[in-house]
Amino acid sequence: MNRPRVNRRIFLAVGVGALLVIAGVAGRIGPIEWVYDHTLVPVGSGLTNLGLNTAAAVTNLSKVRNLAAQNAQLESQNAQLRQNLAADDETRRDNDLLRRELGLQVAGAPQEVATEVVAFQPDSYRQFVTIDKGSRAGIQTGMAVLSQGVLIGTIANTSSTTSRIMLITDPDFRLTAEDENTGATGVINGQLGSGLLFNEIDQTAVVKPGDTVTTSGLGGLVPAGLYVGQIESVDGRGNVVFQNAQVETTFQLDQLRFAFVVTGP
Amino acid sequence: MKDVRRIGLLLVVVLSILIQVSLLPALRPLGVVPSLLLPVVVLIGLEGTASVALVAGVAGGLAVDLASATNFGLWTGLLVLAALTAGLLRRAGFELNGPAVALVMVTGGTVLSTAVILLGLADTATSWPVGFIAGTFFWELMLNLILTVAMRPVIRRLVENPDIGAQAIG
Repeated sequence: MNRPRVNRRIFLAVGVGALLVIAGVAGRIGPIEWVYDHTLVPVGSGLTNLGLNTAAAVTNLSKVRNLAAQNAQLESQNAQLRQNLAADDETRRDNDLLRRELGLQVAGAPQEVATEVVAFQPDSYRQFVTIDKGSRAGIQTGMAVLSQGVLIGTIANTSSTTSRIMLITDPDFRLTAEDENTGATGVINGQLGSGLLFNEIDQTAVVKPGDTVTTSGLGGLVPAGLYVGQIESVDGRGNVVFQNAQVETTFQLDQLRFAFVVTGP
Repeated sequence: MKDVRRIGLLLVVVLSILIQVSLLPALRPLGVVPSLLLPVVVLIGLEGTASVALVAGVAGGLAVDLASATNFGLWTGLLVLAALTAGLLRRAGFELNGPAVALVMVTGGTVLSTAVILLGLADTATSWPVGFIAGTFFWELMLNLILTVAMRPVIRRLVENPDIGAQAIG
């Protein structure tokens, strides 16, 4: 092995790497992305499932002591939710009846595309997941994504066969939302460490712990009324103009297997 | 024997890439995603040749960049830098009998990647929870160092291990 040939190899490797990075930053790396989507993603999805199952098993082992207490709490919540559901059914029937009387369109369940999570963001700070359906299934950037009954994020980008979801807990996440109980509007921000902040709420608006936060439907492709979480605490001293509140979401990253993309109202 | 070792090294690199983009982000041991590729590339550079480490760095970095939704180029750049630095350190004749050089390099790489990711959030993050950031960094670093120690004997067996000196950079 002589030095010039070795140096050529090194320059070649560095040059190829630099070119690929420049092409990627300029968004001109389509064929390599296609290869990635059709090789590493399908092969890696098996390992992703293995990782999720192992993480779930470890979590369950650590929770085994609290299972009885957790079960009792869930039973109590279940009974409460059944009552709420019965009341909601009654309200929905009344609402449909009134809408028909007034000649308004009757609201139905949103159209959803069911997807499977195939990969997670490979670093410790950002919160993205990749799902196994893309633009070919009608998924577009900005659409809302639900899982475990709550909003978990929006579509950040798509290829023909996969899409990437920016999770609601990512520090870059921003979406307009409202307090369903009082009508106060603000912006939902993800936070480092998976927290959720209901931000930019007018100081004159009323928000209190226990209130339900839903999407407001203002702008973009996210419909109104999708459940985000419940207000945990309110900080009225955010600044002179706005107050903010910590929101608790029931979504758990380590239990994320399936996601439903809301493709229509 | 030489071919068997080459195939073995190729398998280790391919498996490391697969584990890095799929298993580790889903498993999140201790709530963090450790970097398996960083120790692998550093060790190939220190124990073997810079050109092989560079190829592993470009392939692995590109795969992680494609899997990542942000900071495209971070991992390719970091792993190429790690491979070049490892090759230069080896050429400079650093003592390679222990894992100290590899551990220092992996620590530097972890600091650099964390800094770039967090700087990318400087404009948008609404809060900077110091406890969370310090805890995440600490556990990520610990796991990266453990992976370095664990992978060292494997890589040492597989690389061609040329004499330290002028050839080592290649």
